[in-house]
Amino acid sequence: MRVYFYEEQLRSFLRESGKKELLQACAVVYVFRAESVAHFYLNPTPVSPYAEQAKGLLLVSPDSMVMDEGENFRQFCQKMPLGNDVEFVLLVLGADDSSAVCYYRDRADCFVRAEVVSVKKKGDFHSRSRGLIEVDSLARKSVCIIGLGSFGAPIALELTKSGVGHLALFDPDRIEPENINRHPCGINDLGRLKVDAVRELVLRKNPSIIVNAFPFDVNEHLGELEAQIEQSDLVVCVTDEKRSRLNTNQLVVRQSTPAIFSRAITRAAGGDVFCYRPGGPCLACLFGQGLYGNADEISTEVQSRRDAPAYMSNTDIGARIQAGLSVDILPIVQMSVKLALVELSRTTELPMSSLEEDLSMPFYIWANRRELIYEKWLPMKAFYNRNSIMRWYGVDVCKDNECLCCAV
Amino acid sequence: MDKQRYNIEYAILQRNFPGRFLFKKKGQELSLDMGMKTSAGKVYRIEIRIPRDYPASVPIVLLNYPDTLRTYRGELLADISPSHAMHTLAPQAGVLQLCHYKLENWHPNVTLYKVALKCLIWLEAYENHLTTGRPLTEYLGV
Repeated sequence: MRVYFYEEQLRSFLRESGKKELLQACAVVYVFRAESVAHFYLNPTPVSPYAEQAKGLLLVSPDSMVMDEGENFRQFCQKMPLGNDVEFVLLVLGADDSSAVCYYRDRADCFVRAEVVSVKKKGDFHSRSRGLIEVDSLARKSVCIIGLGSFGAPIALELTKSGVGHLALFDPDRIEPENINRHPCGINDLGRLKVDAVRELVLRKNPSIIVNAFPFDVNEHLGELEAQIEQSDLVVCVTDEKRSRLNTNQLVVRQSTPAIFSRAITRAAGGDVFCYRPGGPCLACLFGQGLYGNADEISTEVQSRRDAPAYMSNTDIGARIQAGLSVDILPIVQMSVKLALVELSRTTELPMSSLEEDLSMPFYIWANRRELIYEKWLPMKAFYNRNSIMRWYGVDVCKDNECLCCAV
Repeated sequence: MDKQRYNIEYAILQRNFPGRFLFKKKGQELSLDMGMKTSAGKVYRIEIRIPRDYPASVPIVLLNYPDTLRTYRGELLADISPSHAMHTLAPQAGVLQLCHYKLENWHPNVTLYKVALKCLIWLEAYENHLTTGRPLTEYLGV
């Protein structure tokens, strides 16, 4: 059996308890019996593992003999009965030394020594990213994500994996069966608010991340959105409708906060990513330049009904729903995350910062298939000097000097 | 609508429709009343209801005067609305609602002046419809 415990939880317990001869505390242990793995928690977990729950006990003893294998522990148990329901005992030698051993009760009702793995500190989760990105700096950054569908949820997850320390999540919707095949959340989350399900998803990657969840339609709660944008270093707007994008654009321009707007077009035949950098063109500048087409991907009936003209029949509303594949969404997600990391890591001198030069355009276009607006593009084959699918194209968008959003 | 945007909208309307518009505020609701005269000399009054998150949202346009409009065949226009052929949306409390900008064509650099201009074009097309019986789509496109 291999038992994982969080060293920070132990240290915090020892700090709060002070120096006493013998300390003990109840714990919750989540056991994956078939895999011989257990997770030992002294504090309530932000996210409960999908595992069997067992009772654990933490003992802090100054007597090093207790730590010895076999007979000493058995003698200790005789002196201090543990109770029949305790399955795991984590023994720690005194408050100054957090070296630990763990015993678990086997099928024969005997305590057997387990392998202990201490999860040291939050920095450990991102230790392999060091040198590529400024991990400590990212931990202080805050990102506001509007829309937690098949774009927003994986973006939240990737930013968490990269080490972003604060997220503000906005989405009024719940996880429905039709979301599952494109969304990182699964069937266990059906019916749940996306903000809560995604919050748990990111906490599984980094239990130290601070997540503020807002199950709101931002169009009806512009005050709350503005307050969150004010506290954010970056805004990622990945909603499935124009109105919230335009409202977000208005607010990020007003507060001079960088923002990324990403979307797919019909059936995810392709998509685009727009990056607003204060002083540069805003999303409203894009409309007049014929670059921001209107063929948004429509993936739900709610979306189809909301955007349809009043005279459209129910049959036509149903026919408009043309969702794309998850695999066609992911390249756009990946580009959005890279742009986000570039914006969050400006001024750092790390390998990642060379991307600042590569990703300096405000607008990027991607095609998955030669359909719709990409219909006339030529087959990819081996050519690199013409438009083809599966490549990013940066577009230099001029700022509209008469834009009523950013130029006045 | 913030103060800066209001000032811009006001200035453009003052330049193009001088003396023929009035902003009205009732509680939190802001609207724009406009008097319009077609080339045939007929007078209409429209009300442009400005959403709280304008210009992110499309304004609603109601035709307040005359209170009833009929088609070439004598039907009440409000009764056959919403109508793609006549460029009308669902009436609001019985008042005819004009279709001006589709959501997909709307963006924040469209001003209330442009909305008003589209309504004036709608009225011209409507008067032609009364003469020829042809649907408004033939004049305005889809």
